[in-house]
Amino acid sequence: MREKKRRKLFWFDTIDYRAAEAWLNEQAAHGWELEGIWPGPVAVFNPARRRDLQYAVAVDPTGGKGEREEAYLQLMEDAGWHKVERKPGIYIFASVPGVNPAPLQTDPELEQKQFYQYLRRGWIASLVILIIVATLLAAYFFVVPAAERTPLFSFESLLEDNLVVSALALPLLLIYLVLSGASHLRYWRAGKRAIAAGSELPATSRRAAQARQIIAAVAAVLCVGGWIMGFVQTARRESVTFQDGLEAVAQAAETAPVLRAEDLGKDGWKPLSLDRTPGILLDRVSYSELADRTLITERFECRAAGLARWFAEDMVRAGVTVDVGGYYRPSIFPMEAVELGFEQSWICIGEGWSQILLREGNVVAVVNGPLDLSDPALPDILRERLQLH
Amino acid sequence: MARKKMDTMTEQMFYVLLALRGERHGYAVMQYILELTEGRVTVGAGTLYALLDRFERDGLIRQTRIEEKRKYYRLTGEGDRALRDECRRIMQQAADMERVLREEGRP
Repeated sequence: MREKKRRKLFWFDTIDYRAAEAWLNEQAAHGWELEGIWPGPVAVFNPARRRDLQYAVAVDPTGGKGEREEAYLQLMEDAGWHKVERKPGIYIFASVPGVNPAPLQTDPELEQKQFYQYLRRGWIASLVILIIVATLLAAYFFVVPAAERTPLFSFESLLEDNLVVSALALPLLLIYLVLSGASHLRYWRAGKRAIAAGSELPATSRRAAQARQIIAAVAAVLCVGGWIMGFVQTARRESVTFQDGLEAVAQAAETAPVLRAEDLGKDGWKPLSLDRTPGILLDRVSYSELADRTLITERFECRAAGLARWFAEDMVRAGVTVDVGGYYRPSIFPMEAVELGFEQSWICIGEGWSQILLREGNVVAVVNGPLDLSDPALPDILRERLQLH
Repeated sequence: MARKKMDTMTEQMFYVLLALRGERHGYAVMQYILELTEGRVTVGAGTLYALLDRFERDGLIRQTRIEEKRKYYRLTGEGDRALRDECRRIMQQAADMERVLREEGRP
């Protein structure tokens, strides 16, 4: 008969080694023996085959390699503790059958010093990375003029679902770091009090360990989810290009919310491509035609009017013009606010071309090409064709 | 190169150094201490590992050989001096205590 197993999430970081030990001993008291810890991290238990099972968890003093580890594990084995599992920063030991071994640690002060010696290595590495990142950021802010700095988030970030989802992981990672730091501080102070009182080092809070692991797990899921969303978004994109035939593109553009040259009374333009890309925060439609110049439409239907406002204003702040293929380039020609009967509108006039940026409700539209801005019918044509109601 | 001086020696440290007056491996040190103190002093394996590591870095003990993954250690000259200094300190404390008790008229 197949042995039943039990699986439980292993909530514990290195700092939680004492809480992990208490938890494992609780499982042992309920008749469960640890088989191992799988990625997740998930602790897998089998029914215990003995009643004298005890667990001990130790902070890794060896770095987990070579002769040092071998000698350490042999000493533990001789002392009645058999290694069951090793996770980064900790060893998990089970008592050897028939043996009631002495506790691993009999000197709380030394135990705490050992723990912080281990952490110091990680802290030093983290500090070095932090200093490098801070130096690079400081150099960036001092060297690059404010007007030329790339912001952390821009309208272009919203176009890629993988970035949108992954970006949610950033604040979670920051929260995890803050919670970890707070746990370390609390544990250090509690440890000092315990040592002064001559008692054993305390265990960290199991609830705090769970909270940290949940946050880390959600952040990891978002990072992976972001990567997957990138593929999903690409798969959902619908494109018709001139390679499918000019007639096919023209037919698709007839009902799409885009501006065509024939809407402006111009003939002989060739449709290049029509793309529809759904997204988490906005749906995008891109269209371009070609004659001696290009006529480009980009339409963004955002999930909320507030998002559309931010999107439009960020495009203006970035001072970009749209190019074929949906690429945005900085422009030397400024965007200026104008009144065209829409909630927000801006124009940019170049040499032989102009660009109109509009926002109405939750829709943002950009049209770039040989537009006659003096034509009084233009705003109505744009409203009708771009479906800005 | 200057060695770090052992400024505070706990009871466990004392007995580990005492055990290494003879060549022993880690677990043998634990067993020796238990036997010598009749179970009064227990040194955990994790604590012992940390102490051996520290004593070796401080030059109080040295590794003599490795056999079947077990490291054997022995006291160095400096370790022997530190141990004797500690023993003198303990004996002086005991002597001071005896004198105080005699003066108080207690045995």
